[in-house]
Amino acid sequence: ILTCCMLLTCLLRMKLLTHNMLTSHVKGVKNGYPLKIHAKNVKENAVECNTEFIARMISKIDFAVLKAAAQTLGFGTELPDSVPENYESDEDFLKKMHHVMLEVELMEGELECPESGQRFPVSEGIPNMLLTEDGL
Amino acid sequence: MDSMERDHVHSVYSQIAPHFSDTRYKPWPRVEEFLRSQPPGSLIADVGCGNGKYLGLNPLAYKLGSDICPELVSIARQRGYEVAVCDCLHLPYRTGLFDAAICIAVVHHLSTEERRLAALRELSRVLRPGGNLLVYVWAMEQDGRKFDRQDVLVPWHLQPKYSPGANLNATSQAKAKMDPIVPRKRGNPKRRCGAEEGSETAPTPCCATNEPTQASLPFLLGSSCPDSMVERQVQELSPSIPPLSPSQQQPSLPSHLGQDGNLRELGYQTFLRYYHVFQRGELSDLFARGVDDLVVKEEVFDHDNWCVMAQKVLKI
Repeated sequence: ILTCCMLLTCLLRMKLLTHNMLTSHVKGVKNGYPLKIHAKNVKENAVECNTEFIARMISKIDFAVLKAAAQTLGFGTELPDSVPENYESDEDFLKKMHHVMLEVELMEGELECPESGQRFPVSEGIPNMLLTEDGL
Repeated sequence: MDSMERDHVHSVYSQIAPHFSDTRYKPWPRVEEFLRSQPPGSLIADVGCGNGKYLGLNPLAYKLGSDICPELVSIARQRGYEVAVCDCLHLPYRTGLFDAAICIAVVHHLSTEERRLAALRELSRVLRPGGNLLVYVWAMEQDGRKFDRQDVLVPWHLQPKYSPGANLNATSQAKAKMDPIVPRKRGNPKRRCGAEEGSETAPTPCCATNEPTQASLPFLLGSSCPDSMVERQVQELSPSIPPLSPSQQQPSLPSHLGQDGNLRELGYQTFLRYYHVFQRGELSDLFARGVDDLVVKEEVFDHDNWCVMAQKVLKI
């Protein structure tokens, strides 16, 4: 029994950068990415910005998915439609990416497989990606 | 759902999570070095992350932890890490994404070779070409003991204060500060450990000491524990951790309370965890036989575990 939830200031949320990496693995599904976000509780949380780190992460993410996910949550309108040519030195762009990737956080909600419709709950910032018996 | 894993891995960890978490705090040097050597901006997966022990080690890498035990994932989450609950045979990650992955003390809890292979294949899937993998599994041939077979049930004696009915008015972490649990020291006499599958009785108590004890106290606190006092709890069978400095507190069970019956009287609950312990070369062999995209770089013996470092092949 985790009574510590009430005693500590808990940092319980899932970042959009994490969402960018997650996919549905329901049996038979050909494309389980990206997961649709059904958000019940979203927060913004300040995180120290390291632009070198952000620049490196940009090469690993799916930008279109990130932007679309951010917009689902009411953020990301200030992002361009695609990653700029010399993004590594574009401070303004890097700061905006930092905000969207690391500072927008899903606390409660569901992630839905785009193909099968199976929903994975997010509670206290933890996605439960265990498959049901049907999905195995 | 594999019933051996359900009853002797998943449900056990769920019930012992806070106690287990309190004993998992010192990172193994080789794992730490592996993590710290990943360049800034690396994407790293910790599959079977438990309480998140390794998730804080390289702040310039982005780490995703996952574990099947929601109670342990919750502890990791409270420490601020990005974590998910999932099954290591069905990782919720895109293919070819991670620069590196670690899988420490997980694969030995899978009850069939087929499942162990499936876990290794999943780890391979999520790595990018050229990505690096570190896997640790319990060795059959350990420093302090020899298992008499490869598929064993290993007891965990849950301390009374961690049991569901106990009056827990402190957080798990606060408890760790007040009353740290110290793993066994090296140099314990050789002993045989193993258990009959399904046996209700814990194996013969493995730890012997001739030191007299304060009979009224189940724990000995303070820095004056003699070196010959051996950590009593059978969770010493867990992967050994380098000995801590003498100044650290050291609660342990006196030897005369070693019998299972006495432990029960003191409010201990015993759980049995399933392990498939690996022989030398067995893990490397699994990779070679069944995981085409991963090349084993080395297999070493480390802290009573077989450790394999492997790399995903580069596509031509």
